[in-house]
Amino acid sequence: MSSLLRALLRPQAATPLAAFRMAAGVCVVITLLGPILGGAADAIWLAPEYGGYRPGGSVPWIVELLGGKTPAVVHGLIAAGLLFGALTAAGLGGRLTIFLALQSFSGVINCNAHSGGSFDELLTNGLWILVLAPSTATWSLDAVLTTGRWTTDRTVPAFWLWIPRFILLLLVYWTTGLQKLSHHWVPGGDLAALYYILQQPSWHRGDMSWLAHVFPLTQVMTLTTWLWEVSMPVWFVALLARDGWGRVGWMKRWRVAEA
Amino acid sequence: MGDGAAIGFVAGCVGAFALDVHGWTPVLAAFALAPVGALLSHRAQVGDEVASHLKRLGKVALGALLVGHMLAVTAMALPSPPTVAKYRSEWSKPTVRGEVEGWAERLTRWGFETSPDELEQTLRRGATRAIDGRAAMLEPVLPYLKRVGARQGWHMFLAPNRYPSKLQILVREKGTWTLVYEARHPTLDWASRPLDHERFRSPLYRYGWGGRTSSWEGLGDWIARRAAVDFPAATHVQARFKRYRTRSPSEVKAGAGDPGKRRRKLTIPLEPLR
Repeated sequence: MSSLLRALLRPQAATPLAAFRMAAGVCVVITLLGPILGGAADAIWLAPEYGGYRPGGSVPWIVELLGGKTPAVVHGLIAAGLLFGALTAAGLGGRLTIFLALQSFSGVINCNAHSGGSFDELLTNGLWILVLAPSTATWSLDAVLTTGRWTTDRTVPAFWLWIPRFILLLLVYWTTGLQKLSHHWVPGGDLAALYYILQQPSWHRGDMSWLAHVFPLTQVMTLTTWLWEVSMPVWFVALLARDGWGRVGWMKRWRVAEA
Repeated sequence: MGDGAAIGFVAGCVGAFALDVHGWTPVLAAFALAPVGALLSHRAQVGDEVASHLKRLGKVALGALLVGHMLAVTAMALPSPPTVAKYRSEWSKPTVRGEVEGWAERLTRWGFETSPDELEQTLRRGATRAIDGRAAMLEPVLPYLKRVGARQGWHMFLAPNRYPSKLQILVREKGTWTLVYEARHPTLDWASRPLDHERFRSPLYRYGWGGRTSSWEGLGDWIARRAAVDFPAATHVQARFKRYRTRSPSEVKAGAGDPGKRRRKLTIPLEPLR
């Protein structure tokens, strides 16, 4: 256990965390801009009396606090989300900015829980980790203000990089793979899951019936997807071994025994 | 000092979230703790020794929060049936019934003889227990997870929906119904800019599946308000779903397929909206 702890506390460059922060900030901006440019924002997020379509539904705490799903509140939160999303990408304001980006983004998208998806939750999960982590240590305006340089040599404990990996590889990919129990997914059946999913109008922009002519290819892709997801723990341990844990503890002994 | 203020602000808010308090309390707690954090992080005012103790205390608190967070998100992500699996009506939906029949056939082939009805009963009982157990396990951490944006189990593409639905909109002018919108249709594209947007795909999928009646009716009213302006001569608008079975590869090659059934029809007069 102590070897794992040592590996998790080992100092590592802060640049991957900074890249993650920048990507998350850009995603907040893009996710909020999309419905505005697509003419769908008011219909989805406002109350019916202001041009929205969905009556009732639970309202996020911040929206309730500010007065409900009115244009002033929702548009204000969208503006705040865009501003703090951009500042998150630029790395100005440290934890506070990212926290405000998370709360304003979360407030807007939860105005209508029917119109969201796992992509929203993946982003908010990531933003919360960035709030807790020293994510503006480098590649940030905070670094410019404190050191005069865009990049710094600051390191962060390795666990800040392992937490997003754990969430993405084990909690997202693995658990979703374990739940793909349709007889169209699981090996031994027709392996037609991807083919049929791509026939659903929700997931395509145009007719995808041409896939019938490359059906065996979609079967291979179905099997590959399923195996990829359910084998995630193997990839996770392999990453750990490559990235530090292999140098300490039981894995080192295992490697010696293997040699 | 700035970092101390930020930590104080976030800690105040998170503390209030964890206690599941509402209204202005999280905001007040955040603004109250921000100057406290700033003050405590300022070494010149509190002295090096106290600052060092506080720093250590802060690290322990952050460590405890991280461990708690990881446990909570792991519990949230544990595989579980969708909440609707408790309801008998969901099991009669053609997509779900198709899955049960597919598995009953496979289990019988493997030597575990069962009928679709027996299997459905067993699965529904197991699903109900699992859903109730999960809800009880998550109850204490849900307020926290909800507020920090981590309330998510990863049910993604678990099974293909073999009976999807397409939204269709018709307007009635001079006694004749005309189809003006169909999802993903290249020419029937009235109001397609918002309705084909990614943010509308999820609601349309849900309402096409069934249930959520007040939201579906709300969408009907929204469509009617738009149609009343865009079609001044129309007397009525109708929103409905066309549900059809997706074609298998052999059906596509043979040019066969399910023409679909119209369902969840909403017909709304437009005069009162003008």
